[in-house]
Amino acid sequence: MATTAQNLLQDKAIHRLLVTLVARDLRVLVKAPWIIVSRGLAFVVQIFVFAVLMSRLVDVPGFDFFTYYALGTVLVTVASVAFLTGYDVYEENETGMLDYLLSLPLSRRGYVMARSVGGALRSLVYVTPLFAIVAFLRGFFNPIDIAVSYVMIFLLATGITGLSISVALSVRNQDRFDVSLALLELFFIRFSTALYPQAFMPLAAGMIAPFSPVTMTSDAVRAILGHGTIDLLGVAGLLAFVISMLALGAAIYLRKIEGGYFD
Amino acid sequence: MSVSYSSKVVIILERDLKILFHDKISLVLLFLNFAIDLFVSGLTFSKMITGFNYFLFIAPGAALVTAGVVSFQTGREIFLEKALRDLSPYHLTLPVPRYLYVATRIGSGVIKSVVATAPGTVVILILYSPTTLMGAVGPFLIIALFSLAGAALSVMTAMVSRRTEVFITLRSTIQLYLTFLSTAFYPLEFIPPALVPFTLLNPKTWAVQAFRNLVQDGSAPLDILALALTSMMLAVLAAVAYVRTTRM
Repeated sequence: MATTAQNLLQDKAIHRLLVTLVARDLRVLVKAPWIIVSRGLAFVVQIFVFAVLMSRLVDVPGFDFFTYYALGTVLVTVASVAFLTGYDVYEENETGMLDYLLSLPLSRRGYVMARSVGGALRSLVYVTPLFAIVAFLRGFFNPIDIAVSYVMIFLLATGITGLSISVALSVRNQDRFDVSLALLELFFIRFSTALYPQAFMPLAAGMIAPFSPVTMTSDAVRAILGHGTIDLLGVAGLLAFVISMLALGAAIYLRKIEGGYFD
Repeated sequence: MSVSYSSKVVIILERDLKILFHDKISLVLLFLNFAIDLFVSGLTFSKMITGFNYFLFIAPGAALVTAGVVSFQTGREIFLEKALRDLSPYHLTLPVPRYLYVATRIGSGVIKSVVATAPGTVVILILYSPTTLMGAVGPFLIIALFSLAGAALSVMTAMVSRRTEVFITLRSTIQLYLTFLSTAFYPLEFIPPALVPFTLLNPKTWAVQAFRNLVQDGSAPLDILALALTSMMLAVLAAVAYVRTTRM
């Protein structure tokens, strides 16, 4: 009886700790308004300058580049904000804060899960006003469609956050870390159908695109909002991406922390 | 024992260049960035745009993106030395005049940028196959002049930033301006009149125009002049900002 009560208390404490970690990641949004301003500005410029001007250049009958690109920009922004968690973890690793965080009474798996969910929620909160602009521009007003789209976007953000954490813990050189994360971001986005349809992509890129989690999310969200057919295989692929990135993050944490650094 | 100014310049240049070559993988990753930009996004957009060869049109812009990223590392290093590594006070005690010091740091940023962008520039030259000597050599000058503007802007950014997020925000905003409010992606006549003045003040506009004209016609005197004037003006402003900010 006493053991059960003790376990319950312990579970409650762990749960509270997880919530604290998630809330800590969310607070970054309030603490760093500069980042919100710069990403918001990037979104506005991409939609109202780049997409508008490019739609005057694009000459494909029956294809509205502006509307296609606008929704893609939301996904690109989500991915971009999700990658920011990697920068946080890298800085924590550099400053020694990570040692403290890992001394908390929480499993490594729990820690990675909390950071990934925190980073994903942060991306979601951040992208909401931008999504609202696109929903307004394109006339997406069905709350169920929007809610299901959010679930897909949340999954993408969770997986990318997990990946960025893994990179942050694997690369020790600041310049290489910056370039690696930028390259990964570019790879995920450019080899996907977020910004352009697969039909126009070069053959090799078009063959890789279906395996990109950004493509899986982009296709699913477009299908949901446009009342099309959802590719369940793509959704399963997205789930597999999330699970494998969380597992990878946890494994790297375990290896790094339990093994220690030698340099 | 006194060390001549030229030796001091060489020492500072050497130190900055060592930072670039210390991590060769980053150089490869930079080239991959360029390749994805050009051969994935560039080719995709070119399939959607008819009437002219859009792939060749945007190719110089892809090289200038790399140049912008690398040249901005100058300011990033100065910022890190100032805000995070506490190295600035030591650097300021060195027997080098401030103007010479900052000019050398900017100069090393230009060299680093030309070196890191060289593989991409060569790829673009192969695509364009220029027929004149100026068409083959000129693009490297354009990259250098544009990198001068990039390094100068980065030094000014480092001088006004006290916190990392402020530096990152300013850097992103400047890159956004350089990339999207220029003629890198679209011809000038497609840009709304209200945005044209901003586009003409953008060094990337002159850099891409000069690059395209050089590789196609072998000459672009007005574009090069406009780019050189803009870049020199920014470099002078950056030097003044550095000297004023670090004054005792």
